[in-house]
Amino acid sequence: MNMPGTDAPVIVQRVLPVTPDQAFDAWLEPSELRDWMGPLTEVEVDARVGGRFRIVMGRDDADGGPIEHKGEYRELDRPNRLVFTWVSQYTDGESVVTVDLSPDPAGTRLVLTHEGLPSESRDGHAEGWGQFIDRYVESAERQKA
Amino acid sequence: MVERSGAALLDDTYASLSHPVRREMVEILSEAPQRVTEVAAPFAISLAAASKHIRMLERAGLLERHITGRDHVLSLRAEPLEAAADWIDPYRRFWESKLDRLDEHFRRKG
Repeated sequence: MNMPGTDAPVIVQRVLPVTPDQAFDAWLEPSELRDWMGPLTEVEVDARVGGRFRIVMGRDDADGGPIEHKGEYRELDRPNRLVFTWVSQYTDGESVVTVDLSPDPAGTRLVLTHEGLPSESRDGHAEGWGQFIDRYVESAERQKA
Repeated sequence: MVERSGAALLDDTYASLSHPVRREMVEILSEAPQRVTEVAAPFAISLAAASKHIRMLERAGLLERHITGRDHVLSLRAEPLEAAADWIDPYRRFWESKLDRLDEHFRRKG
């Protein structure tokens, strides 16, 4: 059984204090990627449509080794949009990340959409727990406050 | 207390929530802290059986017990639930933290 929302894409937004061009380049320039996606042990970027990337992250937490992420650029429309596939040990094959950039009075609005993530492969437990737990985290935090 | 790994704590959280009585107890306590007897009252089970469920929630760290005189008051603890929520939605957390860093990256440069 699938609870509503388990297959919904992950959507994250930010307003960044830079121009869309600068925000765009931060996704493709290895020295910049090392700075904000890091700690990275390896970065390879072939920044063209059909080109591939490979980003290996060291872990902050103690258990497990480095995590390899790789994918292929599907769309590079500077400075508006990047679309790339994203494969790691936590995805069920290929997932797709879209980064939309638009001018904002404070700089650039970034909207990241991550689709095609597995809902089941996380674990049998995961299904249906999301909403239940989100509700109680809120209640518990209210009580703590 | 024995140091438990994150994975073991998650197992405890999910195991403790995998019973309708315990879920309902969490639901009752999500409104406000309550006495043990009030948490046990709505269920058609003995106080001893209810206490067993409460102890299981306490062992998983979901509940805290404050003893004032004869009153045992239970309240919900957020941390294990937060950990469970993090695990449920890892990619949202992942990108949130990366975009925080991207923002810091630009502020450092600028």
